[in-house]
Amino acid sequence: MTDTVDDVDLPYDEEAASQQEKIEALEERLEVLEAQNEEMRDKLLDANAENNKYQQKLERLTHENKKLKQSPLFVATVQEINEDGVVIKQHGNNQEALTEVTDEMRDDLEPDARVAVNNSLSIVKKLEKETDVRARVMQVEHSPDVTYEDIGGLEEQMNEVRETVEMPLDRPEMFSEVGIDPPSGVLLYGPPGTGKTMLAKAVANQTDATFIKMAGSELVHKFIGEGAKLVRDLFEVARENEPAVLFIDEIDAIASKRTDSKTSGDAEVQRTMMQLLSEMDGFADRGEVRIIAATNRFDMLDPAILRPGRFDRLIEVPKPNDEGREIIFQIHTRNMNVSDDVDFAELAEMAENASGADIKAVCTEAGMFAIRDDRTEIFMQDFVDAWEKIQAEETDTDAEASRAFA
Amino acid sequence: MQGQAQQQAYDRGITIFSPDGRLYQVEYAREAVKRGTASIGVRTADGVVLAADKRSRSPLMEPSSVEKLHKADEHVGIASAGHVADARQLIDFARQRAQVNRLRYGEAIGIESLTKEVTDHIQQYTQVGGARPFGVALIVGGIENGEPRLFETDPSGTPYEWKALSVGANRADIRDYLEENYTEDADLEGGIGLALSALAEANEEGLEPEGVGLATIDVESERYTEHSADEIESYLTEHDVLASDDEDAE
Repeated sequence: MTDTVDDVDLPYDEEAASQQEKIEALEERLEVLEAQNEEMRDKLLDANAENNKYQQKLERLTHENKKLKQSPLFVATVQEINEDGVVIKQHGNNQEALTEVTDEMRDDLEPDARVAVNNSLSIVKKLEKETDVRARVMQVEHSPDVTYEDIGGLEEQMNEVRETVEMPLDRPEMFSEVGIDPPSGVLLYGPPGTGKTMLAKAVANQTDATFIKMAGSELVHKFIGEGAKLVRDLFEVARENEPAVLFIDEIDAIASKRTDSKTSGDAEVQRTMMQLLSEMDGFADRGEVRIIAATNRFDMLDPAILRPGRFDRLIEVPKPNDEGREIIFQIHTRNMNVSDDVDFAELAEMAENASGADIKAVCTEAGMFAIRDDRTEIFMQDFVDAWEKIQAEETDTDAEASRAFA
Repeated sequence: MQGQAQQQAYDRGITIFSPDGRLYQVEYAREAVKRGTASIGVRTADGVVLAADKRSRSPLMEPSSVEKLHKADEHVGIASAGHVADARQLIDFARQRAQVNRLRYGEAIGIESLTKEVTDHIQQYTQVGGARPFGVALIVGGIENGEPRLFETDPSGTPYEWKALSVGANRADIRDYLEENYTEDADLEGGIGLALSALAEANEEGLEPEGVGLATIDVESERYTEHSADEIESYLTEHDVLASDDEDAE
């Protein structure tokens, strides 16, 4: 490239070319040069852009580096805000301190807010309100793959549950037009294996509301007050993510009758239950939270939790009757390779007093019998054998015991 | 939970009350009664009917050895439900008291007096340490001063007089049936019909003659009479509760 204009490499022959040729040659050369100039300019722009990018990256990395080199911040709670500063109390060592705070941060703070402070105890930033991580974890992310079609023989109960949970979400205007609040709590009780938890799973699958599930015994903790705190946080999480459905399984673990207890452990479990009562229908508004609970031991529940306002609907989920059993047999054998001679009505009649879980066990055992015989098709006889096997496991002890009686 | 913990502390000893004033052992003894098959008593103007479900566990068992209906004295019959061994003890005791009464007073013991002597005996076993209550309920029926009387005893030692009652398994269902169908002016035949139909309530397939015990104490003769299997069969057929052979066994 030429540096100066003086020693320009002329594109024409000085003596030989005419004036016109000179001009044309120069014009050509000019065009070429202009094009090159454009190119160069573009390249320059690109290079600048890249440079900027690298600069930004450099800045970021420097910043991160600085942060990593920095010591972590302590967590503290704001106790009081006055003109001198802010009184904070550290978590962990419970030391109180008066510290300075910038003006914009001061507006943001209120008593009982969580903040992060550095080594010199000046407030660096505000943290979110603390909800127990265990409560947050109980939210169900992946809905279980049980649908309402998978449940047999519980139409009435299903309807009641759906009315309580789904209808207020789908058609709230009906409730407001009639002028009532939808029922807030449903308690499912009945013998084991009759589909209570399954019903709750189907609800979780079906509904769009946040579904939070827990077992009653998860509320029992080592330190006093932790159980009650977890209950509070649970309802807090539910309120934040409303509309929500809260499912408490095996609620008789904490909700049993209040009596003069002998150990402090018992008293603590009762206190947790009282927190539950207070959350369900206490002073504060519960919000759009529906509660489903399941238990086997209805007789053990405290009457305070059974009253309307807490659990509005007490639904018994009994062992299925003949038709129910037939439907359940059909449901469980939907994906099974059963032969044509299998008569579900007859099976339902044979399997007296069987719960839904028993029927599932019978179907599985029938399949095992077929496998044992090296068959792929399941015959009626397999089901009959399976039922007898299941029966024998249950009633062996009874026969012996009843020998002394007449 | 807490309630159960207390129960466990108080249900060990028969001589201890629970905080809510109950004797758990006695209540558990009542559960033992429920394990026995049903026994029914019906009082009619013409006499007392005692019926029992003698369900035997195996065709090899002799039905006559199943002790549900007992003659306590010429004019008194007792139907039992619950622990067989305990029942035998009480029947023995009742028989003794009936004879002592004859020797002492030269006359047949009254049904009410006999029942109360038995229940006083039962009560002792709910108050004495080291012994357990009787796990049996009795229906005492007979004729007293020309009148038919029917009484019940239970493991707590409480006597009750009844017009018609059932003890043992399916007690609630049978009692509902009796309440609906009892009439004051039935005769002995009607009473037998009522007792057998009530017994059939609990048995869907109907009753076998060998599986049913039937005894009557009528006002006329003032005698306890046990009915034979043939008689029972004819009664069953008459009231249409006989189990037929072609019904599905399952």
